[in-house]
Amino acid sequence: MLLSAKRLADEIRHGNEGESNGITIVPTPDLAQLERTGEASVNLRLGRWFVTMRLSNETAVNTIYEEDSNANKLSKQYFVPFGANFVLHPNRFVLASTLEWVRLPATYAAFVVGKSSLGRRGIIIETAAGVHPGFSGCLTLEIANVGEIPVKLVAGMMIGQLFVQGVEGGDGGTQSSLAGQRKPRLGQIQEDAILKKLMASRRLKAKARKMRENY
Amino acid sequence: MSLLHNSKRKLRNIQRSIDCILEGDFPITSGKNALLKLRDVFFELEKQLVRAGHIKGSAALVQIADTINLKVLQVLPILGFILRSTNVRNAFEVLEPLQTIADAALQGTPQLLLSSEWDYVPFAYPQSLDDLKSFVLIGLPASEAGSALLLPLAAHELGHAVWRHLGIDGSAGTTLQLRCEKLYEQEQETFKKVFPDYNPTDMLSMDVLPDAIARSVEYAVRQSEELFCDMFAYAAFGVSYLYAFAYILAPGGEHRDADYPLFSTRISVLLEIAKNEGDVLPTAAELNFGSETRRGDGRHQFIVRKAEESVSGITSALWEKVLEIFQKSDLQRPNRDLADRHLHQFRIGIPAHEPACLGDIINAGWLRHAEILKEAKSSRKVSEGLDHLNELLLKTVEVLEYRRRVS
Repeated sequence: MLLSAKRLADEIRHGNEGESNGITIVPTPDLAQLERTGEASVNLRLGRWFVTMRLSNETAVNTIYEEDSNANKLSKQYFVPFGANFVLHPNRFVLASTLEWVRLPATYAAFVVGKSSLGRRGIIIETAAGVHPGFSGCLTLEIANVGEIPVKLVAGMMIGQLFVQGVEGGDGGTQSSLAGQRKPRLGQIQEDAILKKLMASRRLKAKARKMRENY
Repeated sequence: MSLLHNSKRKLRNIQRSIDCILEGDFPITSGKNALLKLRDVFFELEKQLVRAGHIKGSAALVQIADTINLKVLQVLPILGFILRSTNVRNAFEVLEPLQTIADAALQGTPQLLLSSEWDYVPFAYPQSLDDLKSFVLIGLPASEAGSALLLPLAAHELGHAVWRHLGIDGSAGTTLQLRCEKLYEQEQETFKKVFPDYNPTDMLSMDVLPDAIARSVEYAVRQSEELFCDMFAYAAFGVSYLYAFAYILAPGGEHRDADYPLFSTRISVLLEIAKNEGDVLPTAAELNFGSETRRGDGRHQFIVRKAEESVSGITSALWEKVLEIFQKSDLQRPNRDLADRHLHQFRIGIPAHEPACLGDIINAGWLRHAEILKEAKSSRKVSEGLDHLNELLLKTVEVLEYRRRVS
């Protein structure tokens, strides 16, 4: 069940004061306005750090776990002051983060939706749309310009909305207090044991086929 | 080889270098503004060169060619500084809050440039930047540039700009001159033993005394400036200045240059100030500083000792000056209760939501730093904990700026 405006505002008040079972959103949104409008979501703003993909001598982006990730080599960071523009050209993609640091206790999960007014201008905002219980940090936003003309993104502008819902059976504190970052990152891809086996079996089959051909 | 042609070429190349840097991204406008000012300097030199080139056998050409060489020599390191100030390893979030302190303390519109240098010692750029008079250039070590906990060191460097801007060196210099003269007069006998060649009636050796006094005054002024900057950083950041200072410099070396007060002196001066304010600071030993001595023979040691003695007599006046600057400019001093509130939030892994003063944020950061070192069970956990703390600190600093802008 989605949290109502009143409930959301109360939980943020508790969370920002450091109560571990509350919801933290820093900088604090305008809670009085939230209660007045009765919306079941909190507006999120665009942060100041951006990451783009850059040309390099890497042949491809790794999408599976590798010990030596090439993520940093493929990306370039930008810092944009409040109120200044980052221009996103057609068919280009950028990682950004929310200005807000969000922390959810084990009893809540959330999802992020991009501003529809931006969608109508060709800006598609996808996040790790589901925010898990125990998450802490600035949310990474994947922003693409699918329109035909360049679009100005302004650091500090409203970029999306956060809807929060309860998690049945969720209890206890947050999962980790050492997680969370302020900048967008390509992030580490987790090791996938099943995929590892699938890839190993494929390699074995190929090797066996080659041996048969040689004999 | 034509002097005119070579000078034109040098000007063209330095202008191209400036234009090339201008084409980059500037997360802060002060770097771009500094470059535009420097470009104007070279345009002006170009005009002068063309004029001088029209006069045959002109001494003016030699002079302007020399000036161009000197200017290129001065400006090249600054271009490197400006370029490094745009690197994303810098924690750009700290700039606005530091700029706010600079605006208030310097009572004007100084443009702050914070860079990450390939140099381990934090520094403020030399005073002789005539072309960039309204700019304050502070360099922090590149390897530590992203660390919010070391921000108090930038306040120390800002102190150098305040010292010069408010002309404190002049008034302190006069006082120190009088104090040194008095000290030398009181210790005439010791002086004669240390300087046996001194003879006030001999033309060749009568200058030994005034020369010694002049050197003592010179050292005393420089040491006073360092103490003033320590006090300025302490006033802005409280105890976290000492922690940042010790992080970078402890245990210190065996010897300390005469231009700097001994670490033990610097810390004991702040301990005394804190004591008078009802606060307790860690001692030099607790901050892991070893003992130091001065280099040099007996004569040098005597000169430095007199400098130190004269400085010790003006530390209270220096602190009063710092307090006066803070009061006049409405600069906020850190508050332990607010730092404790922030600390509670950092403990549960969230940024502080109502920060009001940079000093409180960094003080809370150092308190949390100590807790992480105590709690963590492995060096990996310490490293993770400190990295995360840095994220929380920088986000809190950003929230401070955000709140100021929207209030």
